Amino acid sequence: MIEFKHVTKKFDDFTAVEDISFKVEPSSIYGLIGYNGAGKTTLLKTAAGIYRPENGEVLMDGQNTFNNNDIRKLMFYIPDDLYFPMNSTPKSMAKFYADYYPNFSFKTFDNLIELFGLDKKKKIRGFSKGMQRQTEIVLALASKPQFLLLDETFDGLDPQKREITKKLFVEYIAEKEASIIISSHNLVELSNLCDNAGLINGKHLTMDCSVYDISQNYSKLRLIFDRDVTPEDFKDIKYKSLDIDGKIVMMVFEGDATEEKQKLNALLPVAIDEYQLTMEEVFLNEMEDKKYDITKVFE
Amino acid sequence: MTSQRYLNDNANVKDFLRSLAKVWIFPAIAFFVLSSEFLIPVIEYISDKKTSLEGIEWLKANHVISYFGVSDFYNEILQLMVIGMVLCGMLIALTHFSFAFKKNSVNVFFSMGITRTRLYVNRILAGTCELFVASFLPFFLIFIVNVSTFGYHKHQVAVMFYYTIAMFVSGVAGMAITAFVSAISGSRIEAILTSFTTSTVFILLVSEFTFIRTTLLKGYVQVSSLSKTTFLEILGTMSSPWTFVKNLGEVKEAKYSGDPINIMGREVLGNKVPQDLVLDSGLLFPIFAWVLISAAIIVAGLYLFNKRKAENANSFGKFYLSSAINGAFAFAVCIECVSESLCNAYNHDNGFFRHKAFLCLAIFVILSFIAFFLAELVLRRNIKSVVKMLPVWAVLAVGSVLITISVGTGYFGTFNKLPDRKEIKSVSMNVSDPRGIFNYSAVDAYNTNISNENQYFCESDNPEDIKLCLDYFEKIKNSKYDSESSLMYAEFIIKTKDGEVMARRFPVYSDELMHQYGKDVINSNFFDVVMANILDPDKSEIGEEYQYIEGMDYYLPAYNSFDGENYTSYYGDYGDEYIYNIKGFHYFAPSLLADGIEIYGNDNNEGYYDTIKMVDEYVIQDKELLKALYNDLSKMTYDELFLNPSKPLGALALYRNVADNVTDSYIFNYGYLSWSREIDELEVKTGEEKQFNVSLMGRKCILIYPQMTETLKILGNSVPSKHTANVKEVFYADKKLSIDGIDSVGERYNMFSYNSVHPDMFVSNVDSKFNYDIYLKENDSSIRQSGNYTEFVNMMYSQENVKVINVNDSAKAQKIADKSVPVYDTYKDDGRYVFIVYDDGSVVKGYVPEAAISVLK
Repeated sequence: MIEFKHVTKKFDDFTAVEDISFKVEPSSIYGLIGYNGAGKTTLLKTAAGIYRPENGEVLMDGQNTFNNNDIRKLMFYIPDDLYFPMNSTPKSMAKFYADYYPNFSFKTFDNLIELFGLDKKKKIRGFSKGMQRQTEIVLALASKPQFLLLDETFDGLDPQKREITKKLFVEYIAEKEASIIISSHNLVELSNLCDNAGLINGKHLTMDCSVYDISQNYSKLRLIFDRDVTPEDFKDIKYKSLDIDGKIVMMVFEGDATEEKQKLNALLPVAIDEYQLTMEEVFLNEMEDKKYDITKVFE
Repeated sequence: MTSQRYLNDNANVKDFLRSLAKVWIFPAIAFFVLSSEFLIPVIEYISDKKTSLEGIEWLKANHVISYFGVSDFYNEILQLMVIGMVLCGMLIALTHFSFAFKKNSVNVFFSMGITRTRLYVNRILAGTCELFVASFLPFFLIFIVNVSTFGYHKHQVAVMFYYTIAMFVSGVAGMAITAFVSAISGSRIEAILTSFTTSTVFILLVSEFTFIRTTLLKGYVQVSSLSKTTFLEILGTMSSPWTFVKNLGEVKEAKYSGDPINIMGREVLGNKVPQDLVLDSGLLFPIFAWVLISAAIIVAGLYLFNKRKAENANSFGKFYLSSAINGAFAFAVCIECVSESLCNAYNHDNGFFRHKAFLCLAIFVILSFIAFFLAELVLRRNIKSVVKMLPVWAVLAVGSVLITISVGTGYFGTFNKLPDRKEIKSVSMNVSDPRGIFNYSAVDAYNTNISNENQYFCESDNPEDIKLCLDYFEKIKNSKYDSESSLMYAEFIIKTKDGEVMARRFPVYSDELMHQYGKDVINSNFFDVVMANILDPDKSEIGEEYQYIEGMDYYLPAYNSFDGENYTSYYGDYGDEYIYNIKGFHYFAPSLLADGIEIYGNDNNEGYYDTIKMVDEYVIQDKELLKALYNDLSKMTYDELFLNPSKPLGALALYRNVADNVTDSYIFNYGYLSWSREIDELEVKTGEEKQFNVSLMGRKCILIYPQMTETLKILGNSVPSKHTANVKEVFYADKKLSIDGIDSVGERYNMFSYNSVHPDMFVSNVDSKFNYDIYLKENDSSIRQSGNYTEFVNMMYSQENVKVINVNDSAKAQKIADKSVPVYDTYKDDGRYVFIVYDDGSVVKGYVPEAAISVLK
């Protein structure tokens, strides 16, 4: 299990993340979501023991990860910015990681290289970005870590490799009872992959729940009226968001919306349709305080 | 238990092996360079049949060598090799820790299954192993070659050990510094910069403090034997990895300075080869010290590496400590320049800053602030960050100002506190006579006396001398700065009964005080002691001559001389029959400089020196003369010696002889006069080497007065007492030239330089200076002069807007000549220098004292 306990990380006077706490259970994948610069990478690097947090700690199997030899042999971090020494090949990198990861399996490495169709004797610097990322994924999985920290790992992968990777991760956590944290901007992908997700917004973890709960906790209604309506008509309704386009109204509700639906029926709409929110819609709603009037940008 | 676990850790061992493999190229280069510089020449020399037969066999037969290396104990290239090894160590560390300077590599190395401590230690261990191999192998191979050539000798082991450890520790020192710096640098560039500044900042600060002490500490004088004064020197060279290794040349020199002989390597003086080779602390101390320093730096680096913020990778100026060191370096460079200029201006220049301590300090503080601030601004590029660095500047500035004030006040008055009079055993003072004949530096004599048995140190335990010394010590110490005075120095060495030595050298700003001091010392008992030493016949002989071995440089020993100067002649590959000696004195009649020099115009390129000749010249080689001189001189007062209104009967000047077959220029320093150039010129121009006679340069002479009866008795009738030519004319300046005035004139013509203030030009170097000036102008026709000697002097005066009065009336000229004397202490005497031209072409420079000035009217 990975456990973040009140983690705060500062860069000089700037606080990147503050008082963040959450857990990642064994055999589960945790999605870390947030806008650019929210602190996802900072949080992952802190978990990997690269950054020392100003406050709090990150525990893996109950041990602090910072500069911890024993626990880091069981942990692999795939950063967004990959590192391959000059003239290195997948094979040489396998030897490199095998020196530091006692569980490294060359058999798994060969299998994965074959699966991804990579040439293990070619120089990695000559690979495309996607192929380099595939190589890093191969190396990570061949290291057989108990804890995997993945930063924007799907970036640059083609749809096929993305699907293979997802399946590999699911298979891996089932097999090894591993814990994975993955940060990504692609919320659709995370919704298919993650068991739990956390949203970092304004330095804090503003949401931490299971992906199932996310969709259950939100509902979206589309109402059609035979007349034009205004926000004034919905002043008694407790909604999360409201979008009016003449006679058509889109409304998002958090939690149980049964009571609000009854109030809406009293407004005599022509039709009411109910939808389930995608994960992306949920997070966009959560972060809607960051709305800008784009039309004014080019004035 | 920990180490066992460490070794059992697979990742750890593999990381160490990886580190070994990563940097092999640098130690390999070091090995090849060391081998090419040390090993290959040895093999080449030994494998050469000729040298093998004639050289090595001779050396073996004479037991003068037990170890063979070339390049004279490697001294010529040792320093370069040390620098190379330090650089090698730095490159190793830079390569090892380069992962810390990039964000993507930091991500990998700091998240892998190995701690920062082990990452650091493995890399240091790997570098250390490789540096040792690179250092050890070349010298081990030389050792093998030597054993096979000469047979085993324990010297060989010692030499191998010394060079190996010297090179190895240099490399480790460089590696330690850069490893330390890597822990506090964000980028490779910053690490390179900070490695340089870290390795040099302390030597800069120490040298700065040394300079400030030398300049501002009133009374301070370098006395090499006193540990207090050498401590800073040791600290200076010890504080930098570039300079801490002792050059074996110093060890070699030590045999002439009285230190224990501990020569390692080739020894040319067979009978002086020590039986037991001692690697004494003087040689090994810096190395062992740097073993400890390196270890401390490595441990500090480890601590900081563990504390290192990974997020600062690929940054510049983010680490406080790194910026502080670089800022301190900028500070040190600034105060190095500023304080040297200010100290010089404060002490020596007649400029605006002289003795304006507060203004100098204020400028010092402001400029150091600007240097530090600008450096930090460049490094950190953020005003807010720079402001955070200012405490570092404040500490440096306050420290420097405190040191400066402490030094400037003589360590708050404690430095020049005299010991109790009852505790004083003896005193020594400098003697400075107006003509520089008996000049005696107490400090120089003490320094050379303690380092060389051939030197003398004069001291007096006479209570009157002790009183004189202490009285003047206090007077001169407390004398006030006088901007109108020229700077002179007084020296005192006070020995106490418990063996303590107090050596002080004070600037004296008062002409009057210095003049009185000079007179009192020359009239004292102490002066007799000095003179007795100077004129001691046993001490005026040349020292033993050393055997010359072809192809090897050697030193002639320092020896005493007539005037107490320290003669050290370095002689290289110029020949094997070199003789250099002081044989006695030349005697000259009062008017003896033959002019006879024809100066041709531009259209005539024939020689300028054809007719240089000395007249009335007799060589005297009689030790009894010295005794007689001492007896006569010790009876004479200061006034009789230097303000004697009577005409001298003659003069005794130093006589030297240089072998005829010297055909090349060489360096020969006699006091402050370098002869090489003049010899060269004369030889070139005359084309006949044998014509050259060094006595021409006899700057220092003792004038013989009628009351010097014992001397005259020995001189007998063999010397003429009078110049036979008739006075033709006299000329002189219409006003007295002050020292400053003469100096300014002398900017162009040396004959009017400071030396001319002292009328030892009587038999001295008027001609040589004259010719020297002309010779210099020979290559530049635009300033080439023409005319004769008289015209030349006239021209020089007129060019400086000094009106020259010519006395053509031979009777009047004769009167002036009769009243002129060849030597006079011109202090406060309103006389005139006159040039007396004889009808045989000779010219004599004389001085008409104020008392006889009416003869000029």
